[in-house]
Amino acid sequence: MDNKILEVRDLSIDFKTKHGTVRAVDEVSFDINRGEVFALVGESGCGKSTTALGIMRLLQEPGEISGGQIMFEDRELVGLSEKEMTHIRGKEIGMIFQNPLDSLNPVYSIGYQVSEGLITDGMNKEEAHELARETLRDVKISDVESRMKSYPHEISGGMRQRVMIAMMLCRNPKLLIADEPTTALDVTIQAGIIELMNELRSKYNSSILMITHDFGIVADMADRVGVMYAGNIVEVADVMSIFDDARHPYTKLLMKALPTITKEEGRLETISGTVPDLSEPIEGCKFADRCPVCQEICRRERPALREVESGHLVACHCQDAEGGDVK
Amino acid sequence: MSAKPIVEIKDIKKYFPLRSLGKKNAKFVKAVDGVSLEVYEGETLGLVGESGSGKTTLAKMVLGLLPPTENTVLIEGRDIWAGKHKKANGREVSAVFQDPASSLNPRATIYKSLERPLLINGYSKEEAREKIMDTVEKVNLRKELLDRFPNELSGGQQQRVSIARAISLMPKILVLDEPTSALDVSVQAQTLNELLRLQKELNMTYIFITHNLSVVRYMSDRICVMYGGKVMEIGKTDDVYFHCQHPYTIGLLSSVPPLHPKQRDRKKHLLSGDMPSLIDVGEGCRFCSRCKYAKEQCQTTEPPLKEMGAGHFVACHFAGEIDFDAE
Repeated sequence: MDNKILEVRDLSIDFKTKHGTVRAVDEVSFDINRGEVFALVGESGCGKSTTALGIMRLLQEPGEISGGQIMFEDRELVGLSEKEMTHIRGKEIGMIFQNPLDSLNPVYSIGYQVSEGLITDGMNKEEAHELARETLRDVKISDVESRMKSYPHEISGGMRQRVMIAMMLCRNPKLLIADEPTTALDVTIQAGIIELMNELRSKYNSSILMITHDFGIVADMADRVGVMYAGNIVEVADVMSIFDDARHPYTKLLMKALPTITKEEGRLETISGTVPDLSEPIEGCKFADRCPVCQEICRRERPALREVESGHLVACHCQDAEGGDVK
Repeated sequence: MSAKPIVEIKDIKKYFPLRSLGKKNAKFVKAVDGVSLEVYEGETLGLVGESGSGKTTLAKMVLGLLPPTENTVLIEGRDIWAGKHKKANGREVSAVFQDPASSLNPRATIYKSLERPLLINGYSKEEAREKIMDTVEKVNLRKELLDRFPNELSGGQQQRVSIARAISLMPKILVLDEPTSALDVSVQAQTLNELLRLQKELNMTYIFITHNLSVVRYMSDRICVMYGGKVMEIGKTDDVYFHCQHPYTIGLLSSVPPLHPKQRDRKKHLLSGDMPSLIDVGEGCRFCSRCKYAKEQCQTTEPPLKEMGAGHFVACHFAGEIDFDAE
């Protein structure tokens, strides 16, 4: 039990709109162990970012947590007051967002922004600046002295994301949430950031919740993976099992839709249909309409997340011990 | 693939003046600086490179949207920038852009968006109607969607509308500028398959711009790697992908996240630093500031494109001499 840093149990997040309530996250459960990188993957609209914002308690109106628990170490985060949450955000759980230019304040220098959190923690200015410099060096920013005085628009996109990472790391949070940290960057810069995160991970021994839609990043970083579809987690397993032994039809199809071949070698597998409308209640499995192995029971009953092998959980009726097959 | 070039570009240049300096001592951003290319009938040429490498600028000049500073584009031997109408028209070249939502008029129904280019090009209302029905069928778009507005469609459907609009005038060449980077993996697979099918049916030539190297491998017959407004390497897909000889290409290729977690320990040739400014370009090779194999010669003389095999050209002084696996 002590090994878990975060336990999410049956977390549901609702958005109340005038067209009805949209359940963006539907009874999602997963845990993250200490020192582990847990990746939450899925296509847009599946609720992965909403889950992350829910954990940080940063949901904006009209979104709200309508049920479930978020246990961070031994504390329940759901129901904490805004004041109590402020002590956890940044200091104990850090978060990096997709677009670094939007997350940095354009009118303050890098040095000010990186050390600001430390000063809030009660450090004096000199110490804070020294630690900020050190962390900026850790994230491989060259010429730290002059960079401390630069403003966000003066540095490149990759460097901004490094600054964001430094800003999070210098307070040494126990859990780092990275929401598509490299999506806005070029592949060459992305490769550098991933390498950096892999290096820092061993140095700072932090646990990371990685939100991404890119299976390449999952393959490069994750220890365990949760696959989300339409607000549900459909499969959780360690990264090798996800790539070699995916059990849920959605995960299998998604793997085959990745362009890994040339056009002479054949065509990519596609998933027919579209994601269901979440503003209407859906009975049964949400993937049923697009599923090639859908059966009658799938339309009646929502499959629960069951363990099919040690550490490998799948939410599918067609999953017995040996596993149903997709075509 | 026939050997007849449909698009010919010789040493084309596009310089953007920096206004702030006044006319006298004007400086230029050399976005495309002497690119020569031939695109053959019926093939797909993939254009890859980081942001700022000049891929889109080059494509815009082929499309007739941006006049070149020096030299010109020949389509089927005809200079599209000569004469009174300094534009290539949609009957010859057409384009599909990255973000389908912003390339469709939000206040026009899908039908209106599809009708407009036809009316402009001299179709009568009835002829246009027939043509639209025909095209919509070709791209597998349901007819009832025609009376809807773009915001009522999913991303994949919107992109199919853009494709329908682009092919309705039966162009010979289609410029695809990151057509799937805003789409999810499963929708991306659908769209790519659709594009390949249409290319065969209508015998179109594709210029496919992307930064996703797995997508380009799936789609292209030949790949052209650009950096800093110049061609670094061009050749058949497999030659560039598996036997690349330019240090930039190998850096780009090894930045692509792995396809399987087993490849985590693969040998990486990560690029450090950022692309240099294109305002004051030095004498030598554009890439030498980031190249770990750079020698003195690279600083002073610009390498020409050398033929290293059938149709495989590399712009590097030491092409073929560098052993990327040594170290």
